[in-house]
Amino acid sequence: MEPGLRTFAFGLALVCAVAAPAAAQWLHVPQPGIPRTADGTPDLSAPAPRTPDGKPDLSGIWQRPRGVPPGTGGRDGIAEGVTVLFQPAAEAVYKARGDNNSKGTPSERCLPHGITKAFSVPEPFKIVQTPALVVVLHEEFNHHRQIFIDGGPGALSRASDASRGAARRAPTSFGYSRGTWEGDSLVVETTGFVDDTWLDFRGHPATDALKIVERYRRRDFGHLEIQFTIDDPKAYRQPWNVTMGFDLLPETELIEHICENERDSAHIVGR
Amino acid sequence: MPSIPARWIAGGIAIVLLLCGVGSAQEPAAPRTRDRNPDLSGIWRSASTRYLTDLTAGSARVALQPWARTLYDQRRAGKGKSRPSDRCLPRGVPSMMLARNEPWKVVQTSDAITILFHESLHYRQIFIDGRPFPDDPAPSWFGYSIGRWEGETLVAETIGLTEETWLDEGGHPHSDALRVTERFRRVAVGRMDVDVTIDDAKAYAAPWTVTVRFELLPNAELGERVCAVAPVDDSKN
Repeated sequence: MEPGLRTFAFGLALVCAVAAPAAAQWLHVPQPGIPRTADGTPDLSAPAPRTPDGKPDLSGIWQRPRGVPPGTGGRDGIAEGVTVLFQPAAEAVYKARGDNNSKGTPSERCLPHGITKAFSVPEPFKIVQTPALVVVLHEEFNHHRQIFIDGGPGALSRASDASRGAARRAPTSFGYSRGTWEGDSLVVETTGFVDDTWLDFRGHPATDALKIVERYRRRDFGHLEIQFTIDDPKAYRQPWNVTMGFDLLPETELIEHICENERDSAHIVGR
Repeated sequence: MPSIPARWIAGGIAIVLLLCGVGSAQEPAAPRTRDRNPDLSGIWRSASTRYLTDLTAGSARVALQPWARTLYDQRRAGKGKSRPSDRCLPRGVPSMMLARNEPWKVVQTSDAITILFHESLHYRQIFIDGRPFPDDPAPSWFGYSIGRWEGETLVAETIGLTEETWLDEGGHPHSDALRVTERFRRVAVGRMDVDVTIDDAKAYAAPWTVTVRFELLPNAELGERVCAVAPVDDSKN
């Protein structure tokens, strides 16, 4: 049995409460240009919009659908229903984190979640898309992430400069991301991670050998899907895939959310 | 030194410093976007450290209200003790813009100016899509910013800033009535001047303005530098 499952909701709620702003209130920001149904509500099944250069426009504020467990939690974290073949050392780490109610996750200390964990939280994120750069603004912790797009104006030279310097570039929680359009999907490859990534709140570990490939597809106006491929031969015997769906939150805005765990760090428990 | 254990984890900052060049003010006029507005895109940093230290730059004409004077004197006497940035909290607006060793990147679309900070991986948004301020914005570290183009100038106004932020590292205080106006002018490819106006009748007798110069860092990219609180020590729980 996995211990601590009962305390998951409480523990997560406490961590979130510690990080949350005192007053969070929904903002209404009218967007006159968006497609609407006959009764005037945003038409979430309308076709996905496109940018002036003809690419799918991923811009918008997105959130995990209601009813999905917080943090995509549960017994197996983001790997719910997925077969994950661990390397022995990684399996031991994973088991120890389970035994320890996943205490010690980097975000307890306000460190960035990293890619999959940041997308697994209930708080929304915003995509800002330009031809050369896609920015993800995560509401949680007010952290941003950049994806450099190959083939965008000025992007090639920047990306190649950066890959030349990749060996010298210090590893980071979000890594270094390069994106390419393949048809209507944005395919993003990220490497350059720190050696102690938690892929989810449950504690799937990853090493500095981690490569994450994401495929972003905006199915229609109101729905975005990201397929993640986790490839880390030091931690897993074979790559594994996770798909997360997101719903558009039209006509609103992100609410600032700063990690203030330092105020209450002594009270943090595991999950 | 911070009085509370905090440490900076520098990932990628070396790259920023390696690739940094200093933009020249002698370059031709600033570029324009497809919608013909000035293009503020780029990575910028303050040309000096003086405004972060003291936003008034020593001006005697800035008159604090009595309570603000008392608080400011306390903070100065305490040598910055309880400064939010020492506890990994954001410096707020305008202070977050002012650290010379913490550049920021402008990502510009027709709807918003998004500013990505090197410091703490944070960001702020300045909405230029014509929306009004919310009726009663919840106090926050970066406030709520809306902007508009006035000729060559982006005029950004910010309200809703939590009273916990300091206007500078010296501790100039403000109240919940603070309205910050920033007038961004990219006067050359490599140079941006920002007039910062502090309007806070509860804290200052009259609005006051300083002009801060920023320089472009061409061919640079932001790293990831985050401020981490110390690991929880179970033995003390």
